[in-house]
Amino acid sequence: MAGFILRGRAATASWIAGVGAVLLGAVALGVVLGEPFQVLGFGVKLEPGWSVLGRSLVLSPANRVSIGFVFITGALPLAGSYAADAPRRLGSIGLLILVLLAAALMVQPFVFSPTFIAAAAILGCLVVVRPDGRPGRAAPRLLVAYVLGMMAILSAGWLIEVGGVTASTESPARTASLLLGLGIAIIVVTPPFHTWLTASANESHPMALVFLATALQSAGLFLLLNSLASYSWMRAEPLVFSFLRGAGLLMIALGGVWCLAERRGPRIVAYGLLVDFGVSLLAVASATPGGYGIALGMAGARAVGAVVWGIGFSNLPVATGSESDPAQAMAPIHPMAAAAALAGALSLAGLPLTAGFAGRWMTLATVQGDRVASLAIIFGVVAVSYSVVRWARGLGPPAEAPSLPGGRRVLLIGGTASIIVLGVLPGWLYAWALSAVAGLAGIVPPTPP
Amino acid sequence: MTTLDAWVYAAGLFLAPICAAGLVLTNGRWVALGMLQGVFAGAALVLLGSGQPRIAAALFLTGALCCMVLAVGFRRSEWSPRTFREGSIPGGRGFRLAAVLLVGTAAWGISTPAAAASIHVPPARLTAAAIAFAMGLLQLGLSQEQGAVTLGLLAALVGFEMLYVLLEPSLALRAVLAAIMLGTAFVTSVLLETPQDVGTGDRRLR
Repeated sequence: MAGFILRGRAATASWIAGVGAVLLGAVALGVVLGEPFQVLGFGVKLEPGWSVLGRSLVLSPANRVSIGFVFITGALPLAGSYAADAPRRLGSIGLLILVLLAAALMVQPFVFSPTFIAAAAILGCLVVVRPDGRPGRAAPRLLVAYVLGMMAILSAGWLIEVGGVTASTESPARTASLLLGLGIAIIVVTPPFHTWLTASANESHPMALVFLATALQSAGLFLLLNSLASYSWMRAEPLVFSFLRGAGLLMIALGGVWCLAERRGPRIVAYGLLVDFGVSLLAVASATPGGYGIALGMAGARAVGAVVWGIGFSNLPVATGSESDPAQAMAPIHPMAAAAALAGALSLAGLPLTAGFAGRWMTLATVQGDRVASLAIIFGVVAVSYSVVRWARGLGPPAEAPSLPGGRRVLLIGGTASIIVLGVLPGWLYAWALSAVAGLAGIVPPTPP
Repeated sequence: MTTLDAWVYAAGLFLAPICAAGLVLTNGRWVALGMLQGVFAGAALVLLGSGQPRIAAALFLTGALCCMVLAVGFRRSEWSPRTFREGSIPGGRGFRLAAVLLVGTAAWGISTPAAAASIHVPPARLTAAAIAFAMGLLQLGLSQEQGAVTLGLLAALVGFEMLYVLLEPSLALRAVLAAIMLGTAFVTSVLLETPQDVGTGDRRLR
């Protein structure tokens, strides 16, 4: 609310939203539930569950890591939105979107989750707008995709919960699996349900694109893991894992080919996000706790890479204060911003020595023996990296002046450094993801086939 | 079911799909909103006739609120279905493919004998709901413009509700779905209005 009231002050609003998201993440991760504790001298007691309209929102050891993850990865684009000159409403609406996504992870039974994810996507329509604020194609496509996806998952949920679907009831199980697969495919932005993403790359601010894509894809990943954890018949059904593998390969193949055909930076990154999530799906399709940990770690690396690209890309052009010279083919750019945009995009591509590489490397190790999957992962890295480098070569010459404000320089240098540090020392991120997965008895399928 | 209930039920079965079809055909702003309210009213009549008066009233009220919210946005933006339909650009191939897949899967799911046998829905109600839903999807296929998409999406949601309320009569889910409908109408109304405080930046395409 403070972020919305102060939206006229872009820096304040974005920091309030970012810090608010971090605090909510810290509360989800660290708060003691059911026992009183002191905050600034005041006694506070948080119950692990709240009842809303007869349904429970539960914060339990099984889901608190995933909720904390959603808030903390969401905080990165919200806090960075000021440095990227993002729409002022992104801070306040973005925080609301994160709260809805957290509610989607907390609600019991989890079949209600898609309604919260759809509500988050509906709010997201307010940020994927054109620079003049009018809705283009991204907002209606996003609206349609997620509401129809919600209907598919609700129908599947009914078949499962009420229809009594089990592995023995073959036909309803297949119907439920297909509907659930369709809904999850929409939520994780599998082609051909990715059209809102590319429309958003054309029309909306890079930070809005990055925030919504990473937040909704993470929500889709958790919904997928929840489904696998909740239904033993799904874990026992080889078709489910074949479907995930197929969806992952499709995302990598199409995303890679589209990337090669694309020259515009935001669209290359949009396709890079498809390829990146495709690799995550291959990791999940391995049906091992290690694979789930890799997918979770990749979601964190993806958020870092995308946000650094967003800040860098938004600060590329040098504001001259006058009309650009038509005789000048390419406008000068800020070198620091270009370095950040390049590092972020190459991290999404999964190039060695960037944050995104470790996930690809570990996925390659996980899918050992699956030659098609291995080749697809390598093709994805090469295709996206080549497209990014080709785009960077088309940028204008570096400008001497005017330079960027100090705060932005710090963010750009810090972001670029974090990508390299995570690329050189990825262990702690993935160790955290693996330990988180190991502790998530409710999310990780106990007996993968 | 009494005779009056049967008449109310039958009226709803006809009203919802007819108004949903009218929504696709109309070129007038207020007629479109009237048709949308007609879809909600038809679904509410079906629920009333089948002995769910509270859910029926809630659905009718949700429809009225959605139409009021949309009316404000339409009036301020001077939106009209005619403007966009005559000058509309057909959707991209990817989008149309997605729509075809969704419609195909929905039709398949409904017509699968096993699914139909397990959900025990009266055939007339299933048909009415499927037509309202399909008309909503058709509206979505005809335009990518925000106002027209919202009208189609709400019609599709009502068609879905006509069926889903029989499968899962939980009040909590009704409330959440009503919030989804109101949220859709509200966001559309905001987006259609003249922008006020959207941030800077016209640096995207590079």
